[in-house]
Amino acid sequence: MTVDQPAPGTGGAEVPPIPWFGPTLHELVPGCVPGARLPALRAQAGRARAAARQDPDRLERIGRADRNSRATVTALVAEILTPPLPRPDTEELP
Amino acid sequence: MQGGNTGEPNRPVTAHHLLDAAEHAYVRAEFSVVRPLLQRFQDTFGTPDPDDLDSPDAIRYAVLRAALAARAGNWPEAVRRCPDSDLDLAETGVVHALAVGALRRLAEEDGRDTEFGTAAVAIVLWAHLLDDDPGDFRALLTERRGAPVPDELWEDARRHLLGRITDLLDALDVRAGRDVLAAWKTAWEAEHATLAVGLSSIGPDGLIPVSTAARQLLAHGHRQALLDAYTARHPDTATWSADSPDHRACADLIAQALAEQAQDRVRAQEWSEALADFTTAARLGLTLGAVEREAVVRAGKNVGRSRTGRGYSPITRIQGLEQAHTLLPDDDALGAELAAELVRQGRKVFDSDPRQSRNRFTRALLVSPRDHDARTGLDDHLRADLRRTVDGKQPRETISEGPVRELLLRDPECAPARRWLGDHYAERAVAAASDGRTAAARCAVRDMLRYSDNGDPYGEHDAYDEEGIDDELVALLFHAALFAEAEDPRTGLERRVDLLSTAVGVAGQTHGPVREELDRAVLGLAEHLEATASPSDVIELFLRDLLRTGVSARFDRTVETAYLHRAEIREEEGDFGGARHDRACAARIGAGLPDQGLLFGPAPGGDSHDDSGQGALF
Repeated sequence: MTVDQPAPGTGGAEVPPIPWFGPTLHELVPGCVPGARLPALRAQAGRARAAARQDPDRLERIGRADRNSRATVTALVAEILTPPLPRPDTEELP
Repeated sequence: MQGGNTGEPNRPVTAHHLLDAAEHAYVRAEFSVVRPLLQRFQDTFGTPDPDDLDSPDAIRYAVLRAALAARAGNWPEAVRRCPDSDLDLAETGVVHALAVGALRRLAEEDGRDTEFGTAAVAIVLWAHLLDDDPGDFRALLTERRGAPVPDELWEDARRHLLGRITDLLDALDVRAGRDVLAAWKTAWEAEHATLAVGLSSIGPDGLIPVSTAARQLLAHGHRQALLDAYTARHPDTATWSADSPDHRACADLIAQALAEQAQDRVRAQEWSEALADFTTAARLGLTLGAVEREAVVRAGKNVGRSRTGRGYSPITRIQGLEQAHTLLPDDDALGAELAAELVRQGRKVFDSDPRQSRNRFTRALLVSPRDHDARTGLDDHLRADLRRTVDGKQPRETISEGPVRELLLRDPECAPARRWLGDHYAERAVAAASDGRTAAARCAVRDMLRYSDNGDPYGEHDAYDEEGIDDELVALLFHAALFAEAEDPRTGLERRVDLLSTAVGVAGQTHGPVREELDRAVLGLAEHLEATASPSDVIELFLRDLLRTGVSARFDRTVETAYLHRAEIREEEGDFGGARHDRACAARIGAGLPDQGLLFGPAPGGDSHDDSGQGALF
């Protein structure tokens, strides 16, 4: 059940922002592997941003992923929010 | 179970192998492989019964299909296929992929705030991954990053992500305008506590039953939010009742919330509000324990008084004490305090608002039947009204016999009460006698004498024998006849004749003056009828035999004229027999025949109109 209230974003009511859930640097930046240390992550993100200067959309996504991975905790959260990534597989199938 | 292979020649394949291969491919993002494997599984082993979720293969298959559907953007199918229990039987990596997809789906395009199925999937899966972690999600992370995550870091990240998901659901709730009872955030919090969300039972009204939401809110310190939302849904708190279908589901929880709020309000010395809360809680089924009883007593003692103890609001105090008394009817002290307050208010408005004053005293007596002051207050009102009647004024309230008699028991010297009762029984005696209820009339006379100024209300009234009682009754009737009045003169005259006729009936032949007064009244009525009514009305009066022929020449002449007048009318109407009969009657009266009775006997002649029965006269 919903109760009457002004439409979202109208009437002066403050609408909380939608938090970020990806895509993560691990998805966006090749070679950015889970578990990487923060300085390495920063450097990779910086290089990726520089390479994406001609692609504003990708630049924005990388920037947002970078901003959300700058602390150890948020970087781990970003890892947790990373879906399956292609990876080399040497395991033998059961 | 065998049925082909996974692509490796000469190797038997089982359903288990196919699902292993599909999950393995999924967590390595080899999605193009997953669908053919599942198709082969289905072709070989059939589609697992989606309701048979006890089967590990069914769970694994369902999660894989849900994840594929979600990846393709088909969220209705993903929601439909996703199981909400035994998720640990599925590959954690696939569950995780579906969980991440659900969050991203909800967060896209400024929030999918009405996609309740997706929200339910996100809630169920993330609670599964981050709470008990039966699928060992941490091991998956360790495998992906090649090193274990330190405990402290894991806990921090876990808390951070839980909070971020909470923020997402809250933002979506705000956008959709959901109250806390319907909020996805509440369902998310309830899922952590009790695995409350069932994917098969969700709907747009909420991801969890409203009672579960209420319990969750109450148990986690959101009492005010719960009560605010519930009040917004049901603004009229007077209708909150455990018996109401609208409230049954949450009655005990809301009652508990109100009782807790009431306790807080008692602590804050908000006495009226606390008592109102306790009252509503009781209506919702709350049984007051010792702590609540103590709080009610404390609120009752203080309600309507200011914090300094000097200020005083009698109406607030009475309302509060009424509530406290209703909550604790066995608490004599509260009852006495309520009665005292009612009496105080009754005294305060005794002259300015007599009705309120009387109601306060009456209520005080109901609460405390032996309250002397309340009784005195009511007696004072009755005395005032009795005095008004003695002075010929209207009483403020209708006076009735019982309370006046009771007043006399307490105050035998109250002259206005005796006077009122005397008049009351006199009126009753006259009315009963007029109706022919002579025995009742005599009884009323006895009562009247009992309450007369010198009578003893409690003694037997031996001072009057039957004849004396009748004399009193005749006197009452005679007196009433003298003052008989009505809106129109004819009714007044008829009433007078009736009363005097009754008096003569009671008195027999012993009261000459009464007889003479009756004669005068009959004559007066006859002459009034002659002037204002039809001849038949005069004749009808004559035939009542109240005044014999020969007693009053004026009366006889009036009746004779009436017969002659009616004879003319009958002749004009062609009723010659009737006219002849009327002329015969007139002739008899004119001849001074003494007795109306003759007119009722057989008339001479064979004409049917000469038949002098009473009917023939009209």
